[in-house]
Amino acid sequence: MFLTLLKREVFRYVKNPSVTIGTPILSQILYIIVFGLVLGPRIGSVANHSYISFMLPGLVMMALITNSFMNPGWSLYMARHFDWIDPILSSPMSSTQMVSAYILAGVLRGLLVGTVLIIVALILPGVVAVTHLPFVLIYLVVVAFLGASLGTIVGLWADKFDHIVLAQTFALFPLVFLGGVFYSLEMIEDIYILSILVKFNPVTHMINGLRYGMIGVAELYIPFGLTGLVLLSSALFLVCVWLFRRGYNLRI
Amino acid sequence: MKNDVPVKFFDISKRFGDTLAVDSADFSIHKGEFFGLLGPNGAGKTTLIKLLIGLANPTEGTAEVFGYDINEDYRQVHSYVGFAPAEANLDREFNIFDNLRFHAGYNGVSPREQLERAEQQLKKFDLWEKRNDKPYELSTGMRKKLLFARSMIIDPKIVILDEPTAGLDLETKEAVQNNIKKITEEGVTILFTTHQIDEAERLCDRVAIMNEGKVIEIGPPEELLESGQGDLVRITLAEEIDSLPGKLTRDGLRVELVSEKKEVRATVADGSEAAADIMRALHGAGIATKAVHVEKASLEDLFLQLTSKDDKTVSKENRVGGR
Ligand SMILES: Nc1ncnc2c1ncn2[C@@H]1O[C@H](COP(=O)(O)OP(=O)(O)OP(=O)(O)O)[C@@H](O)[C@H]1O
Ligand SMILES: [Mg+2]
Repeated sequence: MFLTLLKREVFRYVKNPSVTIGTPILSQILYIIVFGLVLGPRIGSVANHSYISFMLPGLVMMALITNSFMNPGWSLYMARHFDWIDPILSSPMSSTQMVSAYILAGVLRGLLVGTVLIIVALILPGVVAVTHLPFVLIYLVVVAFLGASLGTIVGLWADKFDHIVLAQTFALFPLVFLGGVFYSLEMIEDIYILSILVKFNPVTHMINGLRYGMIGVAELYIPFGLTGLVLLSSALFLVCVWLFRRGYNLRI
Repeated sequence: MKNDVPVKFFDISKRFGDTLAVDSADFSIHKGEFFGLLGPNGAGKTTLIKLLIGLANPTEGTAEVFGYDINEDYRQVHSYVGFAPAEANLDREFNIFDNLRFHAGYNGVSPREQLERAEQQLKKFDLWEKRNDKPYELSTGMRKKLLFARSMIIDPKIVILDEPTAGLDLETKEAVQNNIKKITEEGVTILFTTHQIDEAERLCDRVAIMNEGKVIEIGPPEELLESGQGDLVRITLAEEIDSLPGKLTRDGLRVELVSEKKEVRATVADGSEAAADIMRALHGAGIATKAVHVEKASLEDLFLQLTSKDDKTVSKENRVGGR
């Protein structure tokens, strides 16, 4: 039951790797080339690391969160739009099982993209990619889980195609870009409002944690950030289960 | 199973805004029964089915499947019921073989058995050659067959078919009907909806007639016909008339004007007596008649009588089904 749905949700992107895996990796590699290799040397070192080493965790995080978000987001939206969710809703699966399958498939897609990117980073000359492995793993999983839970909620909410794009453009991208992918907190100290807002942005804490795992530098307090992220993702998971149980935009 | 009653509705209702799509349905379907749900478009048939299988939340009331409540024990309920919807809701991201095996998997069939059953069903419904096609590459009739095959793949105790024969050619329709009949012989309970009343009359052990959300008649087709209104009187008029004489509409007779307003019809208990009464009323109102027929009423005639609107005029377009 749960396993079949998980398998279905994974197959939908695995059988289409050029789009689902290739595209995000290519786009992140373009960022690496342009920002890291071309502009990086002009920026110089940040927190005692080359700019590219500093920026890479942010790029991984960006790919991770968007990909784990996309899978349940689009899949659920289409399943609702074309009604093929109905036989799933009429199966003996529980809401928790359904939600877990959608989220886990998204997590795996995010992890796949994230892992490939970290491997690319390991190959790049002069880039520090893994300092504290457990932190890298923990953050990858927690963030993928958060992204997939958000994707599930958006996939349930979206009434049309544009809504998912809307959520991505107006919520996900600003959070990610303002979450310190490209800059250190020190660099924005003078922009008072921004430096305050950034600290409340969960994405900042995600990048901060992964950066600690990858290059060993943390600008914010890790235990605080990690606890917050775990609580947030648990809360989002419960919201997903609650929405499924209520049949929000699923049952008439 | 908690009891032996496949389906029992307890005063179940579903409201959409101002529309009462299902209005206090309260009846049971017996074990092994071939049960037909009839009614014009928008009567509430599909909504009633959706309430049963977790696709609609009841506004009031509830239902049970083998004694399990559709809300509290939905997992048991869903494990007993196979459902083929009227409109294809197949998974467009996968081919039809995967559609079937995933469906089996969602319903707890083991991985190996999923493959076996998918193959078996596709072969049984002549779709094996198409196994690698996407659902949208099939013809309408093939999709109907696939939906039926999918509903059967979980070995259900109850099969619910929403318009399983709509849009099928004669040969396929007969094949599907025979398949459905075969299922009932294995003790499976069938609930199906149709607009083809001859089909219901021929196949069903019992039928319920729905109109505007209400179940207005329920029983074996023969009994419904005998329950007072077994004859059909048809009186051909010499020329068109705009409305029936007041006397006829007042008398409590169910009389209507059809066929471009040149025929008067009534489904009644005693045909010859009613024919005489109606003739007298028509002549009394100065309406000339050409011919009188009295014949055994069919379920369709009864259906039209029961579901026709207040003005008692049923135009050809509004007639459901037809033969
Ligand atoms: N999702 C929905 N939202 C709002 N109203 C709905 C919805 N589904 C059905 N209805 C309304 O409920 C009523 C019953 O519809 P239903 O689909 O159950 O009819 P039906 O008997 O299956 O008709 P048909 O023979 O055309 O399939 C109709 O008035 C319809 O407009
Ligand atoms: Mg319907």
